[in-house]
Amino acid sequence: MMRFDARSLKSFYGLSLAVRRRGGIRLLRRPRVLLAAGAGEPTGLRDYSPGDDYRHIDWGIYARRGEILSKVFEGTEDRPLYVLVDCSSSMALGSPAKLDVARHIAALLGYVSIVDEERVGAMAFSGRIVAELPPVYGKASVRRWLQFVEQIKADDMPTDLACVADRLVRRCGRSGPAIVVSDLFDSAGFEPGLDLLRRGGYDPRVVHLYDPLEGEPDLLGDVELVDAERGEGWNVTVTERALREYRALFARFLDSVRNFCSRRGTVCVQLSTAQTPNDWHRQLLGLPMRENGGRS
Amino acid sequence: VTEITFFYPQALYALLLAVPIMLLYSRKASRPRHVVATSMLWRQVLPLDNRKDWRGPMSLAVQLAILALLVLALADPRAKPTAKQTPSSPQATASQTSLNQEDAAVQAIAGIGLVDITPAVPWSVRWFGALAIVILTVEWCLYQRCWMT
Repeated sequence: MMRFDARSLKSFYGLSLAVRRRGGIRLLRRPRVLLAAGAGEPTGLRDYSPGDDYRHIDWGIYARRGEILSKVFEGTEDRPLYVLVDCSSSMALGSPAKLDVARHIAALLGYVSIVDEERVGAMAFSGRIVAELPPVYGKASVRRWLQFVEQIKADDMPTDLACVADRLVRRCGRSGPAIVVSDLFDSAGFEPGLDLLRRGGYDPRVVHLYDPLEGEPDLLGDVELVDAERGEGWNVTVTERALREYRALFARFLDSVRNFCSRRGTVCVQLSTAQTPNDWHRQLLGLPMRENGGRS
Repeated sequence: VTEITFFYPQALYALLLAVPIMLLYSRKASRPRHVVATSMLWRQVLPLDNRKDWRGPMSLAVQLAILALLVLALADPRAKPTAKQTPSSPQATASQTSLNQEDAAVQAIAGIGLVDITPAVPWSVRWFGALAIVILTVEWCLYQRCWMT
């Protein structure tokens, strides 16, 4: 089981300060929206429409020009952030395991948000919701957050993002930004799940994890290929040609994730598990990568 | 009931080649297990189905059948003549040990190809070796799948 020790917490704290200095990161940024009231100074005016609060009518303009205009406020809505961690069987593969990387990222994102006084909830999913932490708030809940993330274990069901998104959307709870940390190996495709989240009022963001060996598999000749998620096995003969096609297909899969997110305006960060934690942090925070790229 | 004998019974030792054939086949049939995160990409590259692959066992059966046929051909099976049966052909007399190679008449018959008087051991050893080399080479190629790379 992954443990977040004092060194990890120190690292997270340093990163939270860096995030604050940068004024936030794209993954955690809340969109500024027009609010009816409650966000301090008004930022504009618009025509009055039935249902507007009388207190927000600009009576001064009405007195001078006879027009009824409502004040418009801009700000961020108080909506909880959700971190959805894929814990399907495929996430247990790799060295380090993708699930370990996902836990590390979830812990970091949650920590930074909690320290920034945001409400954060978490959910571990595969083909179902495996575990859930309702939104927590305040620095006192950091321990609870980390304990939850530490206890996420690999589930034996295949990924079904659409099913989980559907269950999440059908709830009566408040929607908010939803960061999906997953390898996106969903046999039905990752697109319907992300679209469902968007339609349900959630603002999906994607942290896509992949193991470099998935793109460059070390197998040739007669092998028994076993699907980690479904447990099925096939006797196949992998030729050089099939291997070339597979590599191209995997590269196209990575591109398809980037392109889909780009088309939808979704923030997407693709992380290789072979990179160092420092490199993950840099990519998550949007900092330039180091030249040598070596492990520290 | 006609009893079958072999003119070159030493050739039956070639049946031992079935042992390395089966060993190589079993080694080839045991595939290394490779766990992949998902099969959805492999499915687009390779035909993944759970139908039993009959080509392997069929290949082994064909190889063993060919080996058996070759060995039987080399051993030269013949019907053993009974005591009442009189020799009806020069070939039948050739299989009997009473054949005297010094007999001038037999030498004459052998000269026109009706009787094989070649000593059995050198002939069978020669063909046994050739057969072993050919079969083992083919087996090794099948095992390595040298045509694929």
